[in-house]
Amino acid sequence: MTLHLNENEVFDILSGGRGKLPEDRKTHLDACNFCQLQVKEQAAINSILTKMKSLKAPAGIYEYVSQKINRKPANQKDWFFYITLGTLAIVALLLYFDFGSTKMQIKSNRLDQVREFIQDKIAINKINIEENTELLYQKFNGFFKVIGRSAYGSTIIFVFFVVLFYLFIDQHFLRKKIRH
Amino acid sequence: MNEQELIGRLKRGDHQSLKDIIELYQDYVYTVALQMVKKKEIAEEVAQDVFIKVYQKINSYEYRAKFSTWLFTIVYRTALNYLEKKHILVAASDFSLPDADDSSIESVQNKFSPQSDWQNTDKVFESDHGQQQIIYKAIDSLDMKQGVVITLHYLKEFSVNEIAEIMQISVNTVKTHLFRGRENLKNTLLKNYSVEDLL
Repeated sequence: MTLHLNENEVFDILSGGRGKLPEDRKTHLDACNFCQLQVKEQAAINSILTKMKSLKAPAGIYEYVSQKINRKPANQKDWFFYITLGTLAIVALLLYFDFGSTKMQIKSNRLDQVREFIQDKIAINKINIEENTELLYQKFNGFFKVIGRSAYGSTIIFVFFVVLFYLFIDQHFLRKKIRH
Repeated sequence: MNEQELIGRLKRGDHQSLKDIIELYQDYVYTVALQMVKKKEIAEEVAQDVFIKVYQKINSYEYRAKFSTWLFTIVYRTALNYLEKKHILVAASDFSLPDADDSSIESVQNKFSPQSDWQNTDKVFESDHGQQQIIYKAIDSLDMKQGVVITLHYLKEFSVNEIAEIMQISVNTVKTHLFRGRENLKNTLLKNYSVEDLL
């Protein structure tokens, strides 16, 4: 019994006509209604598909690609993320071990620190150290209270700026997509 | 300016040639990507990633194959990578994993997004609305590989040898996909549309 035409033979007929078939297969095709129908149907679908057109791509692909290749390579995004994550982890550890506040407690009080600062920076014989220390302390007392005296406060501010820095980098240099 | 000149200029880092290449190919790249990933947003991402890769890897293109064959190899692999990522997402979020013999990317894709954008919207079609929509909807119902083979063969007129190279399969497998794809299309089209709609 002769086999019906296979996929390759049908492909050959559609792409080059029945001339590509060996003689015995041509004979089979001429005698087999099933194969003739199959070739006819495949040819009809083939004819429909040749009318296929491409879809329209969304606008802005070039702008996105251009922006991307002129800035950070995509794989650097991960590095920024991990650096930020690592920084946050270190800060969290510092907070956990209360590193800053312990150090602060060991040192003398804030007034003494201000005095030391002025002594370091300004010529001693030109100013009244006690007076200026008191003035400076009073002026910045609120600020020192909230931030300077608190390791937690300064840590929170630091974390805030780290996150802000990451968001800035992400937003302006590492964006994955541009929405149109 | 012909394609070879464009590629030569792109190899020298000329951005204008990148723009020209994107304008030349973006519709085809997007169409093939959408055929594979089914979602417009993802297809757009794939298209963007493809052209970034083209820019980054253009110096590895050695003129041995046609540029379009090289380009669509990148399209095919990039879209497959997206589908594989989706596979991981499905596996991580859904306890009912596909059956052992049902674990192909296509089946996962169908489980993950049973309704593709081609079925949902008309906005992707700009011209010859009716007939093109009929064709694309029918192709959308095919197995992914059949759909890709049909799209590459009829849309960009790739030969079976080129498609085999793009998809890393044998020429006979490409012919089989073409045959079965047309057979399935015949069933889909003739079941839903009259001959007048189609011709």
